[in-house]
Amino acid sequence: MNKRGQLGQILTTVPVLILVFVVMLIFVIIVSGVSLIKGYNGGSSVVSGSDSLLLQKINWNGEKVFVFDVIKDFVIVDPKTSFNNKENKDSLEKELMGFVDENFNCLALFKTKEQSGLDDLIGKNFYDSNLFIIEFVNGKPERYENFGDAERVHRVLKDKFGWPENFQEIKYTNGNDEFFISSYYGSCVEEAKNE
Amino acid sequence: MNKRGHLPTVLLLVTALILVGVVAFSFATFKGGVEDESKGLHLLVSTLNFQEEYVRISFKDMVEDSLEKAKGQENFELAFNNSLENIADERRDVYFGNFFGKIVNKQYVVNKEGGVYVLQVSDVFVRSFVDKNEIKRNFDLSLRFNENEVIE
Repeated sequence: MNKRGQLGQILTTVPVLILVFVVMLIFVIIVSGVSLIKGYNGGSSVVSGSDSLLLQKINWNGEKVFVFDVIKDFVIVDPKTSFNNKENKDSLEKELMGFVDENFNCLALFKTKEQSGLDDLIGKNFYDSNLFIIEFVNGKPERYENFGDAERVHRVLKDKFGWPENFQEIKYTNGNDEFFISSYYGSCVEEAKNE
Repeated sequence: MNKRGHLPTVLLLVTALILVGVVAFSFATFKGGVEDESKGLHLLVSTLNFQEEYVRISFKDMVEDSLEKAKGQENFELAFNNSLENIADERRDVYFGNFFGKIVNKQYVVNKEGGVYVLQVSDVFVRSFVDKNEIKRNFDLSLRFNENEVIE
């Protein structure tokens, strides 16, 4: 190779190598930025059995049964249908109210046809029959009633109960029967905003 | 200047740019899939834990209830076994795997050592399905009791 050829190659190789280095540097910065700016925030915990609301026992028709066994038989009613299980709902709610106190002051339980289906539940007004929200306020348990305001229900469950991260969600399947139950039993996360 | 000498150098730059682009794209798009997958897997594990715990607590409850019914009976062991099988039959639900079925089908062992009975149910399983994922957990159950109470 002659001297002019060598000089020409040096003149092109050096700027290109500098460019490659700059591009690599930009790449490293971008990749670091991706993990710093948008870290994974979908964490959730699996509730152990003894802490599960569904495995607490209540009096039901003269027997001690799991909360799960009662809510399992609740029908997900059509929003246009009046309560077909109001009596049962009131009885279960009364039993659940006995669980809340100063330490375990928030309790929520609902049954849906879709996974994490609170939006679906609220959107279709299913919540009246299959949603239980109880809180220990001013030394006594109080249940949330008149769930007419879907946004309020959503906000309370999210801000005060930490839905969906704090909730235990399970899937039930038996033949064609398939549904999801979500529950939370513990201390309130924080005071609901704008309540 | 030798123009053919430029070609590999230019290719080096182009290849580096393409590689950087591909890797950066894969990094940026990797998270979304994991988040969706995580939701399903969480439900899978949560359901499985619930099923196992339900079976373990039910097992103890059933033994306690059967003890109550068998107390004072002439043939304690027979009365206990019959009661246990009847309760299992009433509570049978395939959602909780093969536990209740095993009791109903007499696939359990009761050994007596001195005044202490040991009830053992082997190869019990619970199974959880979410979409195409499935987890099956096998475990054995064992409980010691006398004619009055369960011994912890």
